[in-house]
Amino acid sequence: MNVYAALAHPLREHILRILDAERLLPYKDLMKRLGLKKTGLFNYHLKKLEGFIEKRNGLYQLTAAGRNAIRLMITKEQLMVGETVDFQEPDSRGAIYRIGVIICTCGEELRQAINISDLVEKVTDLPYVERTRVFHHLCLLENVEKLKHWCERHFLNNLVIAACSPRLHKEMFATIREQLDVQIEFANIREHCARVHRKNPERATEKALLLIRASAAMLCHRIPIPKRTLPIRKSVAIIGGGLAGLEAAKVFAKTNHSVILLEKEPCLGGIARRWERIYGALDCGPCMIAEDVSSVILSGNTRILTNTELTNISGTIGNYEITATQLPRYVDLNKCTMCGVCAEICPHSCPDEYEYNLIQRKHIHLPCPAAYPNKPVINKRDIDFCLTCRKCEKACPSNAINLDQESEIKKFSVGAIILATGAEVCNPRTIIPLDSIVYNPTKDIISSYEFERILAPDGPTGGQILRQINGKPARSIIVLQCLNSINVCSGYCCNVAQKYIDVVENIAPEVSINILYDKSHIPPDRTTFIPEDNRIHFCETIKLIHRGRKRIIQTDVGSFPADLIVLNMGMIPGDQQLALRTITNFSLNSRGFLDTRSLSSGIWACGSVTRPETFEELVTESRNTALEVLLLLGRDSLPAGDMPILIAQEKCGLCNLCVELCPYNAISITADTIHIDTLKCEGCGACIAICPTGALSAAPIQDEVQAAINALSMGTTSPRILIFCCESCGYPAADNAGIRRLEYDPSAMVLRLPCTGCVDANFIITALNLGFDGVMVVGCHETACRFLDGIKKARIRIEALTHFYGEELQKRVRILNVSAVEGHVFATQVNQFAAELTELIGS
Amino acid sequence: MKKIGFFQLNSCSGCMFAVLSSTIFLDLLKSADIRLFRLISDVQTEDQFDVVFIEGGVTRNEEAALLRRLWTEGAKIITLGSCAVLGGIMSHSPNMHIDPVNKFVDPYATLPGCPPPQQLLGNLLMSAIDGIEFKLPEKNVCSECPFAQDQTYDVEITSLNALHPPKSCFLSEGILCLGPITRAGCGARCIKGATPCDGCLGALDRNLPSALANLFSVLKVSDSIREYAAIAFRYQKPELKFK
Repeated sequence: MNVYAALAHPLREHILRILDAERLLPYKDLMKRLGLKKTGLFNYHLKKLEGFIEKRNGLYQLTAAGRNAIRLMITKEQLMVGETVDFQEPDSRGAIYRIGVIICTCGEELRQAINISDLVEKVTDLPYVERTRVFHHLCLLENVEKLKHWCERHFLNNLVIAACSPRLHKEMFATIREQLDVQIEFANIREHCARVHRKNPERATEKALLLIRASAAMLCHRIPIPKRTLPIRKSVAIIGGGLAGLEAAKVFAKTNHSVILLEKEPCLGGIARRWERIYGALDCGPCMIAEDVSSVILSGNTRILTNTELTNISGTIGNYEITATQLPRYVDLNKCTMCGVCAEICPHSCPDEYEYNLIQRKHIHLPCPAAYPNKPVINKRDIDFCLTCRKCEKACPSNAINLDQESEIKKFSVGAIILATGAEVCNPRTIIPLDSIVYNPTKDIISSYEFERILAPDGPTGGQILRQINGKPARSIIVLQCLNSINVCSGYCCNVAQKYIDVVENIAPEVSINILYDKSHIPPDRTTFIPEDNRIHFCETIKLIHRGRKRIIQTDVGSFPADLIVLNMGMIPGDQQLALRTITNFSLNSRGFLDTRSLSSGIWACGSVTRPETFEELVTESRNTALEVLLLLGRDSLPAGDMPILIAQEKCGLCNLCVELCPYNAISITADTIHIDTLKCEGCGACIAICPTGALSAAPIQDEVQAAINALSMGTTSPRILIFCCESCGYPAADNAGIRRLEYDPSAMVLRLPCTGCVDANFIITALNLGFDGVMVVGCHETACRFLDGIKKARIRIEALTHFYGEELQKRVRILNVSAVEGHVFATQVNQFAAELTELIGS
Repeated sequence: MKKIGFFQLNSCSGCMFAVLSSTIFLDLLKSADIRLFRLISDVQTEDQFDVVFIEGGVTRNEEAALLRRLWTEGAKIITLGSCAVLGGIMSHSPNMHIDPVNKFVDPYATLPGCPPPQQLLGNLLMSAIDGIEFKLPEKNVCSECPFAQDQTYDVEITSLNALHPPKSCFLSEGILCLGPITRAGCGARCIKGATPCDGCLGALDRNLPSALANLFSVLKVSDSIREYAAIAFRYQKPELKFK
């Protein structure tokens, strides 16, 4: 490949020059441009240029060597005339830009303010602009086909649409974007130019040219982002086999999606399984659980794993990989025949945690009456003793017991995850004590959970309300309210108290029950409703006194006998929430429970894990969650976000700034790689402005904005003002000024950004250095920012710059809060700023 | 043999001492012809260099003229240290005006740092001899910092100086550290030595004041620090032209 031989013939030199100017040309056009008639000669020269030009998709273009040859020729010429040689690097990405500019005159309206023919002439001279076309009404749908044809014929891969506001005909532009495989940028020459500068056509034309030039410059720095889709697995994992998990599983039981149900305990049912009656439902807890379990099992698409704890979640929406550890049960579920020999022979007993330690159980035991799976279990805590005994193993007639069983690690791939891990029972020893009333089950001061078991027909007392001291029936019950250790309303104890009134009335009408609230303990955020009832009392003081054998609670509203004192406990998020937070990241709501909005997309939560709920709330929430999951599973794939942010992992320094900044918690760093949840990302771009190393980049930011600032700075009028507008308030406000035809200074150039949060301080400095007299940042009102706090970030950056550069900068940089309809504020503020700047430059 | 010169403009000689203490320097003595190094040798030849290392910023016209002459004579200009690359600590002086070298000539390679980190300096000296392209790291100091792991930025920044070695990230302890916005390459040497990073290697992609203003929008910075402009201009005072 000899460059001198290749350039020896003037025709070959000519070919290279034409290709350099046109970038892409088909065979015929190239031949025509050369003025050749015979293909033979043309082919000969093309062959000689092998290595310098290449044919791709039927189009001739320069190779890297060809571009170097061009540089050689240019340098030679420059040297010959005695110029100093200025080397220009080719585009680092080797991309080819063929930009088409479309100017819509909006039914001749724009001609009143802009000299269109003059504009077309000047636009065609812009770098990389190949073709310009004028439409009268671009917004007609039939034009899409015309545009497509036009782009294909002229091999245009970028399009600048100079027309009305891009917000006006969103659907139309979306169709263009979809049908034409081109990058599009807009120049708003109607609202931001023609309509607001009608009195000054000359400057309006110049401004229109600048806006188009900026859009073209932006396109030249755009990195096309490939469209991605995420496939979705048609399965779901439900973590937690309590009421909420089962309700959700019941919905899936009616579909064909496979479900994996993980339960930490040896049997399904959770806390609700222990309750005689569930508030808001007429049924008793165990019956409801049994009903749910049977419908889930009958469906046949649910795999239930008990004694199994979630240990890890990885992946993204549609493709989650979950890891779980199944603890040994020591009993083979298939072999066991439930003969009961093992429990009879077991020599050792310990307190039964299912009954809140009210009675004793054997080491090998049924987890609870009528459990699912209804097979015995040995707790892993007790296994050390059992390994020395092994009596049950030998006695089992069907050889179902294996005391040497090990934990098993299981892995599943699912499309979505539902967290229904529930809450935990508050420890009665941690509550604020009332007077001398301290939790002590042996003295008949019990917690509400123990009381639930006492009321339950399958409980230790068989449903009779017995005292723990002497085993005799209790005649009077006192329920104490608002005892949560944290001073927030549990949101559910009031309901529980009303349930107790109902239940006691039903099963033991002779027993008196009184509900006592200590007024000073009632939390300010209480939301539950307390009905008028002569058994519910609000007291100033509560005292426990003993009168002989009798125990009496004395208050300012009367004295009540108290055979049994029930401390009504709330629910707390508990340790399991901590464990869950180490597996998947989420934030907590004001009551310390899981905030569902903060979960990664593809992970849902329902039931008491989100807040303590009544039965109706829980069922509604669980079903809604299941339906939401079904909506996801109904699709085959998901588009991966609107404005995906490109990540250059090799540049990331893992400084965590973006993680901290992101208002939507969409960014996470795991195992030294940065990851953006594209479905949570709203595309405000604030992370790109903050990224110190440039590891994050996206379509309209950084290089593009710098290029646009550069292009806009080429104006000749003064004072030159650059206005950064956010897409949700600032830009619409500028549009609004256009719609209302409010005149403002034509030297103000509007640059659209997704959010003011991505106004990098460097943009402001660059703009000022490039000759702008003033910079304005126009965004939402601080309390109404579309991206939560974007405008606040911009304000902090400008304040910091003011501190660094002093008063002079303060006069040059302005921040403005507007809403989308405040066009008049926008116009007057711009005019005022322009006037101030004129005075400043003049002095 | 490449002809090499070490020039000192307005500087403290710190970078030259860094060159002298570099382990590569002995190799350099053998494999290159050092024609000018005023700090260690009286031999003074002021022309015909292949590679020149410049330390310090430019204040006088004669210095600018010298740089232009060297450049037009075909020497590869390598700027060494924060003063030559960014303007350095002297940017602060109200009485004199100092410019970085790249305002007058186009440097072949640059290495900021006060003084330049040994590892990078070694690479730079090697590249001067062998002609291998020298590249500055593209990450920030956090990537090298032993304390940068899951750091949180919700503590109010109230101090500029550390009184004790850090237990975790300085920013998590309420001390302003410019590590996140500063170019890597130093191996977080200051932070390991109980001093927060002050940005001697310069910011990445943008100038230091802009990067710092961006950083302030993430951190909770107390007013007294926010108003202390000198943090932003410690090594660099980028001009802001107002017309």
